[in-house]
Amino acid sequence: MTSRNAPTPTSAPGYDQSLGLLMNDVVELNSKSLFNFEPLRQKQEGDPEGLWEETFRSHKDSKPKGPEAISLDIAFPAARHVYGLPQHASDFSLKATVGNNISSEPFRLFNLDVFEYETSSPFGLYGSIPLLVAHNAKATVGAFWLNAAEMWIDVDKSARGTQTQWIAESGIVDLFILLGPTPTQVSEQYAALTGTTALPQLFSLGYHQCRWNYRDEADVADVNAGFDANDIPYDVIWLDIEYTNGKRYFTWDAAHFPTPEAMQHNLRDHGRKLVAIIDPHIKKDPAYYVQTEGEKRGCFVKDKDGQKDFDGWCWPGSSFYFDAMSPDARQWWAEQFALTKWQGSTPDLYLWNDMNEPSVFNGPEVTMPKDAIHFGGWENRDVHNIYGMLVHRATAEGLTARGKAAFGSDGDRPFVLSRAFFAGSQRYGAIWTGDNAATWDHLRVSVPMLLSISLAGLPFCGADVGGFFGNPDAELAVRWWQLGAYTPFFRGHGHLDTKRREPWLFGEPHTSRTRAAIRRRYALLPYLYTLFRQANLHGLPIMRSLWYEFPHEEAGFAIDDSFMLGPAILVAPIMEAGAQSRSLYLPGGSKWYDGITGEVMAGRGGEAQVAVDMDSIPTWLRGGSILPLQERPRRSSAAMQGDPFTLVVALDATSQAVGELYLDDGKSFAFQRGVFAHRVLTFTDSVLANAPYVEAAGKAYNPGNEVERIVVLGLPRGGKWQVHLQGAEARRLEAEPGPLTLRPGLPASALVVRKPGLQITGSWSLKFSSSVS
Amino acid sequence: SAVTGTLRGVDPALAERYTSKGSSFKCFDGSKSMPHKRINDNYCDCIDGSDEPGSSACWNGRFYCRNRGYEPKVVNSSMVDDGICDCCDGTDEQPGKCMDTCLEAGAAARAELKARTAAAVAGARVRDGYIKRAKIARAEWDAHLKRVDMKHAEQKKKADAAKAKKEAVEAAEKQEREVREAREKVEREEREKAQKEAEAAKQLEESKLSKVEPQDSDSVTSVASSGADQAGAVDTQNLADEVAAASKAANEVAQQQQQEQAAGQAQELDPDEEAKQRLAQWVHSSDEPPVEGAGEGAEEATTAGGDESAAPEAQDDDVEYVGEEDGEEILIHPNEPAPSWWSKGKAWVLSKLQRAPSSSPPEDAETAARTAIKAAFTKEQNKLTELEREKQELERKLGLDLGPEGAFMPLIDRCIEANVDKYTYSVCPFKDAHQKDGGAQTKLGGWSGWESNGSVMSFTNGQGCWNGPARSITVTVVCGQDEALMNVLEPNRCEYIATMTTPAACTPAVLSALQGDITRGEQDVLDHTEL
Repeated sequence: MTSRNAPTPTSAPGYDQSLGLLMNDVVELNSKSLFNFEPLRQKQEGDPEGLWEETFRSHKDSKPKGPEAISLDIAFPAARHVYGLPQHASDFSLKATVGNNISSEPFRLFNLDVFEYETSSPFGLYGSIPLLVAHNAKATVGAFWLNAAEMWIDVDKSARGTQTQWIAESGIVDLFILLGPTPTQVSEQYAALTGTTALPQLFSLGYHQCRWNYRDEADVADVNAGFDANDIPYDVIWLDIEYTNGKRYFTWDAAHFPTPEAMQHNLRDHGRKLVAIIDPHIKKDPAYYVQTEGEKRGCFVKDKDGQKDFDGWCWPGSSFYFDAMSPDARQWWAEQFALTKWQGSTPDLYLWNDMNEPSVFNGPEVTMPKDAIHFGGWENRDVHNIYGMLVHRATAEGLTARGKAAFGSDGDRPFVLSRAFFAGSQRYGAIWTGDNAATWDHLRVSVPMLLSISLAGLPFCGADVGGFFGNPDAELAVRWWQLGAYTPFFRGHGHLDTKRREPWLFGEPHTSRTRAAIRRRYALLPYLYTLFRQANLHGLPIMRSLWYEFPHEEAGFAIDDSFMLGPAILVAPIMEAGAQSRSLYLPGGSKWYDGITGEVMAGRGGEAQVAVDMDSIPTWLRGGSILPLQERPRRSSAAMQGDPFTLVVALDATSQAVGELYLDDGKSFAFQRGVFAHRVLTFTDSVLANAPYVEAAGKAYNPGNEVERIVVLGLPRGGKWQVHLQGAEARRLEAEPGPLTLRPGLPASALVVRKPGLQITGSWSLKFSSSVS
Repeated sequence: SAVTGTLRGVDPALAERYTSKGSSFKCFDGSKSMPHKRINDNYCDCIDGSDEPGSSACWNGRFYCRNRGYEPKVVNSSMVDDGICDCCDGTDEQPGKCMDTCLEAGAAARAELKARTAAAVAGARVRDGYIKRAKIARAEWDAHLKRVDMKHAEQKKKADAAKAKKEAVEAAEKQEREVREAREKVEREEREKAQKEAEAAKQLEESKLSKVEPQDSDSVTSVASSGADQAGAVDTQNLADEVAAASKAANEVAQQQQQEQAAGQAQELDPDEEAKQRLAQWVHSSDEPPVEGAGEGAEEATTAGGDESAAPEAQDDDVEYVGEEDGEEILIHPNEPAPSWWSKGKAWVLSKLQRAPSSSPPEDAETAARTAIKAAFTKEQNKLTELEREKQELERKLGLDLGPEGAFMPLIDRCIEANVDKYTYSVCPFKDAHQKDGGAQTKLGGWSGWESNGSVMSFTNGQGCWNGPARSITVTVVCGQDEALMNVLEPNRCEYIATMTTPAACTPAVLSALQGDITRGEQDVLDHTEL
């Protein structure tokens, strides 16, 4: 460990020396000399109570190795803001947990199934990522302690920046300091350690409709038809635990789901998918094949003596827990997803892993006892926080194997949603923020929670739209759909006891608003999918804090009620009942265009107050961006595949803009062998050009989609603009003033090029010229 | 015309707008004009979607498919050319993508329509019978109500008279009680005084024992008590006089009553009569089998309904008759012969009486008389209550909205059931609805009225749900050949829905709509053959 007087690392390559920063201004290790650890010892007479055994309520932790804790301290002397350490239902910029007049527990990292969790709490929730990011106007740095044991982190803020103390219950110090110094470099450095996001299937970026529970096949068919009848797009309908035969996963309740294959075929014929839940607890029932197989093969977690399979209570009652720590058990688990194995499954069925903290209803803190034994003799104490991720992994691997069996070597990318997560979960699929509630507080806290998870390298995340517990009124529900449309994972969900809330059930005018929000999401899919490709290549988040995009603007450091979706869209959701206006911060130095009207935001950034109504969620397009959209409403992402594109060019103050588009089959692993199209779009010197993205040029993917409309915002006013295709096939294109969005009553704020007759994946350039200059 | 023939997705009713003379097409909302070549050119020029009836270019377009052989359909432009066949003629997709299935779809629909129409015709005949029965029932209820009103008025007089007597007895008893209490008070005071004096004397004696000569303690006591006697004497005498007078009055009342009642009845109550009175305090009922009261109306209604389902229902009554949640009084099924429960109750009370050790002294004649007066009042009052209930029930029935021409009247005493999973759902129109699971049953709601223009029966305020609302069920009523309950679902926690077929819903309007559909269907076939 390094002392304060002998600061660690040498200067990092690429470090912005012009900022005149010294390394010891950025991060210090052990400056408070809190590095300490409990040496392993022999049990002795007269050891203090609790050293070798602890009790919690009726639970006893046998602590066979005695005390094993490790502590260390990391200071960020120049940073007043630190972020990360998900998952907590609290502010994005972490509040101090020690200091004058502060009575807070430290941030806890311990995966737990928390019933009706509270907001503004440092308490541990379903997932844990021990990554802390410190940021100031000059530099961004990260500290990542790879340790899956329970961890507590104190945050102390003073004039000297931020000091943090970390204590892990067991394990080793495997600490990584990420030197940045830019936010994206921190993301890349962290991704180099833990991996980047798996590229999801396109369908999984659409809208998901879930409920505990869709009752039977007729219910599923009705909801599916309801979306069409109401002309609302969606891609996936979900089945919660009730579809099973008595909570025996991999089985179907024969009374309510007698023909699961036909049900999935009906969805498939509408371009849609089914997701079913599979949890890691396996009902103890000698007549249940998964239980007997797992038992025979030794695939379950053992109790503290390491002999008997650990028996805990969950949905099915007495259950065994699949030991995801064991490679062989993961292999066994993955095999369960084979189409030949799981009766009633089809290639259109995808997965959901819940309760994988794991949740044990009769365990301490509703989880597994810390002295339960995993593969390799590890106590749950040592691996607790990684367990859920390994369940997620095994399921994703099962689907990958299934895809290769069904479709050949290009296979089928898995989709698995998990509740528990750890550093690295991004490689296996999506996560969500667990069992939230239908309250405005939970709507509000979802933004900082998702920002925090996203910053910690796990961009495919979302919160249950509508709130899991309780019944949202129409206003809250609409606001939630409006926000959810701009979050990476977009799923409506509700508890068994709640009223039905499919998007049309609140009636008009709410249905139209919800339809508009969900359609907006679908229009943005090409942009969103491109962001996922960047996450897949470089580990960048998709939902980003303002400071992530504008790292020098201190006014944005504490903002967590608005966010950036990628680099180009600022989202300022409405999260108050009865709101008629909201204040927001538009970073200066940029030009901002209203996301619907295309009108330029007056002034040059800073605090602004905007009027709002129930119809829209305030969004701004950042000047200097080019967005690829597919604006035709469809019933699903699959139905959009052949649709033409719209390019929205939002010019900055110097009349320039840049954007990109990534396209592939949206489904298979063929992109890994280069079957994709990645384009870069630029607008400079009055020329809009479409060229290959140099960094990762693809080959042989040209689906032939046309560009139907090019919408340019921010051209100098006054002249009559002409647009010409340049090159061998030079011709003049039709262009006239028009609205940004095809909706009645909007101003002609843009120049709209009509049917340019170009392919989205083609290389071309258009010259814009004004007759009067 | 030739133009609409080639113009995809145009509703024939709007065809002229696309073919109007002149050089340009005008968006329906008038916002823009453009050359005809922009119609269906797969680019949305009109914000109202009108220039693209046959493509998916507009966010709000409407695509019309003729569906020859079946019925025309309008689909959202979002479903045009999306690879999924939404029109049975397949015109919403590019040629070759979808098969024309309209004849088959039409044939299936027409067959289904025919079956539904046949059922509706049969249902309408049944409905005519329902309406006739409704008229008769209504007249009977009216007449019955008049009779009950008269009986009620008479009974009111009787009950009032019995009440007056009972109140006289109670007044007398009150006075007696006051006298007794006064006497007891005096006696108690005397005792206390004597005790105090005795203690005082004892103390005195003790002190004398130690100092002075003992005094006669008796004399002290007697002096003190004689004073008390004198003070209380007047009051006691007054009370005693009053008691005697009241007793006399009570005796007179009793005698009078005895005369009024059948002569020769023994002064002492016979055990049966007493048991009845005791039972009357436990159960709220008349002392006669209620054959002439509510039972009559119900029986009439049941008979008039010509309905056999009432019979098995009666068997349930042993379970049913204790008001389950609301703590209502015991209900007696009108069809059930009273003696069965009456004799059971009597036997039970008698056994109690026989077993109970008779600790109280035998009642004298006067007490018996008073008991009789009270019993007589209870009896008259019970009769009155019964008549009131009967009256209310008739008034309720007469006030019910039994649908157009009262056609739903025959459902008034019926319960329609359906088995779903392990449950039996039972809907009793105008009354209540239950979910039965073996022996247990859960009330889903009580009748709360019609909704949606008389097409939905609503039952609300059923048994409360844990962590949720009170249960409720809405039953959509549709025309059918006979009564059946189907599609019972619980879309929201504790909010049930169901569909019920009944001939009562087979109105002329429903019939003519079906006939119209059939005519249109026949035209569809002709259209398709013309093609």
